[in-house]
Amino acid sequence: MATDELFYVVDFVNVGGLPMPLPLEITYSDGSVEKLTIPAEIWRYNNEKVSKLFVTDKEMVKIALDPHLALADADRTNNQFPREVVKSRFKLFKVKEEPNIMRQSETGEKDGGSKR
Amino acid sequence: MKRLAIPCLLLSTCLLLAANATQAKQGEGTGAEAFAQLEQLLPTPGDARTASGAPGPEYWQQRADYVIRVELDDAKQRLIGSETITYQNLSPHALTYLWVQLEQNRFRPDSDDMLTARAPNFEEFPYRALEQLLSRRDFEGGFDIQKVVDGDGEPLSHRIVKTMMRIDLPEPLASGESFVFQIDWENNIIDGIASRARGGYEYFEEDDNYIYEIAQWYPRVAAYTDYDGWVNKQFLGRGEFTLELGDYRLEITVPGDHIVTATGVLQNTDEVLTATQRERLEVAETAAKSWRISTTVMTNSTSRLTITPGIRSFSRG
Repeated sequence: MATDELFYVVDFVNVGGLPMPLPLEITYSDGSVEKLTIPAEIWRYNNEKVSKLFVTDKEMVKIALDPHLALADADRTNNQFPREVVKSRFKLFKVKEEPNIMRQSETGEKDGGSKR
Repeated sequence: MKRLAIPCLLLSTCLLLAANATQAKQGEGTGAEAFAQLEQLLPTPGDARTASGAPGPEYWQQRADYVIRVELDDAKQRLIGSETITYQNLSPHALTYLWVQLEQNRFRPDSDDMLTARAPNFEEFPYRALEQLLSRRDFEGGFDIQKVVDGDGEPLSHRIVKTMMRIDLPEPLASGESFVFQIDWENNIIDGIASRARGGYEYFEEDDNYIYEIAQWYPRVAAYTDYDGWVNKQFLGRGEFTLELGDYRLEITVPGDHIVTATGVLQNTDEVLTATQRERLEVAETAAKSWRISTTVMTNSTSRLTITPGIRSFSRG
């Protein structure tokens, strides 16, 4: 049997312990993005580790888990393949806030109260 | 040589046991879980069901009677069906909606069955597994529901959720009342050999013809029970069904050179069987053993069409 299709096997590990659906965002080499959600039932045979096969016509360049922050996930640093730098909470805290017009109008402050 | 075989057998048994022991260490059924009491899993006893699980004094069970007309499109490997269901609410509750099972929808690409299929083990990956994967991927499966109407032909509001369909009733169905509705549908039949599905067709290249084994093929009312309410979980491709009791009147239209086997009582023997076949059928009715009605032998296969005493086929040429 000859086929031009590409086969990708993606391994998922349940680090936190709670079986949850797998909302995925797959980016292909032509720039197109596919979104799909795999139901939590995928964990029904093994709730620690699961492998999923993707058969595609296009080359896959990136796959991200939970792109819309829908899961109760404390560690977002392991949600992309290939890995990406994710801002830590500490860094986020230190980032200077954009001026907040709503707050400015409330307090009369010009800098929008970026003290936090 | 015989002596040698025994130690080998013992060794393999030991290995199997060892494998089981390692498996038992992880997951469910270990430690406290293994000794958990069943009471919490069983339904609470009541008038309908005793604590032993047996029917109680107020036991009830729903009923659904079917009149189904179905036609096989041999050229396109497709079923075209229309059914009228008479649903009797024998429960003590009023129902505002009904759930209908659509098992064929598991072949849609967005079904839970397809989405939650795990990757095969590529270390021992047979050719057939690849064939199965690709055949399911290319198959345009699922019920094409064309009509959901009540007994007067008025459209019914309904919502399809993958392998389940909820039909909203125009007014609540009181206890003891019946509701008649009709569903028209079409669906493609899957390649049963490549996909290894429960039902499907097999193609014989030498003769350029098909044999069809049809299962899970018509929309059917889900069970409504005292212990679980509507049994409306998604069909994941494995497992069995709880269904309601009911009478079936079935009209199957197939090309003239086909023979149908099914459970039931054949109504139009004269129209669908040859004189010889009718004679054999008569013998079969009182025969102690299985009796062959048609001796057609499929090439490439040893399967023959037989009819067991008491079980007769339906067909219409």
